[in-house]
Amino acid sequence: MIIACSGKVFCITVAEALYGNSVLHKCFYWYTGNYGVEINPPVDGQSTIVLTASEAFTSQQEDALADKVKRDLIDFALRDIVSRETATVRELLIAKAFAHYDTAGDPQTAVADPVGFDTKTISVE
Amino acid sequence: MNEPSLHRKTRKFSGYDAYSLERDQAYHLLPFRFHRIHNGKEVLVSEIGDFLIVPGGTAQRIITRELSKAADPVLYADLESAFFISETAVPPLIDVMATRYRTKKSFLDYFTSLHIFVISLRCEHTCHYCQVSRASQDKNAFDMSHHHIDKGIAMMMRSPSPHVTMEFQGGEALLAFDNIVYAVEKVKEESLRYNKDVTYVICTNLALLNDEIALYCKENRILLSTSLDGPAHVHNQNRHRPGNNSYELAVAGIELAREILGRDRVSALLTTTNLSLQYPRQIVDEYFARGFRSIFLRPISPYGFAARNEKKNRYLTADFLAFYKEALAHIIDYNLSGEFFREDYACIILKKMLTPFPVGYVDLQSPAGMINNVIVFNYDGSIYATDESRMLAEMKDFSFLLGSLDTHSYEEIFYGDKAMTFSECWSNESLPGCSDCAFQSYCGADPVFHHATQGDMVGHRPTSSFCQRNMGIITHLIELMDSDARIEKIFRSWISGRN
Repeated sequence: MIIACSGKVFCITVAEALYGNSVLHKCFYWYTGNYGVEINPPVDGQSTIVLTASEAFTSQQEDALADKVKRDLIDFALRDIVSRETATVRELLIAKAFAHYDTAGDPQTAVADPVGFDTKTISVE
Repeated sequence: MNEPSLHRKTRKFSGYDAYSLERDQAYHLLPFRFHRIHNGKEVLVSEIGDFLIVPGGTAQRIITRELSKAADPVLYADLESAFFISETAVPPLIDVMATRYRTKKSFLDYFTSLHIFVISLRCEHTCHYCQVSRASQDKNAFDMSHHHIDKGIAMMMRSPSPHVTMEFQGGEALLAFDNIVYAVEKVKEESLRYNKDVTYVICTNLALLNDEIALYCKENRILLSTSLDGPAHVHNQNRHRPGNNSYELAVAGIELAREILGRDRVSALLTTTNLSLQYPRQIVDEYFARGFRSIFLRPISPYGFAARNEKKNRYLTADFLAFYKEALAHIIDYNLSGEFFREDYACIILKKMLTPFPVGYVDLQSPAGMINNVIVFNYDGSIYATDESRMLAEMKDFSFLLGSLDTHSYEEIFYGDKAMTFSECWSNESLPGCSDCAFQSYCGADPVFHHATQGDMVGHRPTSSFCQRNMGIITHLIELMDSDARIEKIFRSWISGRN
């Protein structure tokens, strides 16, 4: 990650492989309240984000913003991993939640028969 | 002859190996979100709203598979039992998770329950923060007609919910008490036909309450909801009326209502103005002294006429949060000294955090309460998606006007094009900024608020005071529970109602 600051402009360059388009947009969305935000298309595997403030950054502000950007990028990259890895199970969960319990058969889980008997094999006289 | 095999499904417990710490430690992530809080910690929130407060960096360890069952047995077990991780791609208890998820959304089961009838727009108060009222005495121009009351009741009876609430609002609803009597008598007949259980609420400043009205309310089990903005010097400056005696009348009305209807049949609401921000402790003390055992620390609604008086009614969210935190600390002090006294907004959020159940509070739901849980029949027969929507209409913004009792059917109102348009932005699960937020399941979507304050129903979270306020309050509640076990115990007593 390369960070450069000059006057009102704070520029971040990150590897596209580490921080994809979705991560960058979700992360820097939260900066749009305080800065003008420009996310440029990747060039040679590097994405550049430009934050423009209304006044020139002091060195203290620059350091604080650099720390925040690094931390936020990691957090949003982690959130992106969870989001991608759990998309299927989340869909399944919501589909089951709103399926009005209309299951095709008995739930196939290890605790489906908590008393230790398989009711299907017990003969009733 | 083959030996009979012991199929796993027929055993009560899994084999010993299943519990061994030495097993293959690969685990699958389940949907969860996280947020950094105080003291370098972070809070993890599962898809079904369970939360864990953990040391900073834990989310990263979980997600990057650095967590070890052998090295972190307690955390690992907590994460597995609270549905943050699973040892199988589809968790064995996915049906339990689905039931929990469905329960969280069960406020949708019966669709619209709260039906607000703006029975009159007339009022004898001229509160500077009022969004709608007219001081006019022109009964014909600003009272709801019997024709519209009948139509509104007919639409209310179409609700799928067996339990509906009919709330009379104003202006000052008691200025049209004859209308309220007409409506209640009509509903008594209709509710028998349609087998509806109806709860009645009159929102009133109580200035006009007398024995006759109170006795009618008692006979018909009507609840009274009033306004109390704090001690006299705050209340009377917020709520103007001839004689400058709004506070005195409200307090006398509360006492009369308690005497005739019963102590639990009258409640009070606070509206926080710029003036109120200076008196958090005094406002809490006033509620406690008046015998209330709860207070709703409610910010002002930036709608209607209230928006015109910026000096008195507009303040920074940070200032409201400072007020809220000081007032809440004072309320907690009451509890630490042995009294039961709760803050209602915290209670709504805590119930979402600490129980599997939803809360029927229309301003903090996803999907939003508009139409799904509340509908408003205005004095002139027009129908709005929320109470705030009719306040916007007083400023000539009719974005949330759904139709009219004269011309629109139930289906056109509740399932029409406008309702469909609103539905695109009434779930925080799909809103920018909310979709990744750890507090998604504790918060809600408010398209009307964002339209009113930002000109966009989707809203811009980084500058949204709705987001800033709720993020601030939810974080504060979590940090309080994390910092002092006694406070968590108090919070749990608030949602259980037990001291």
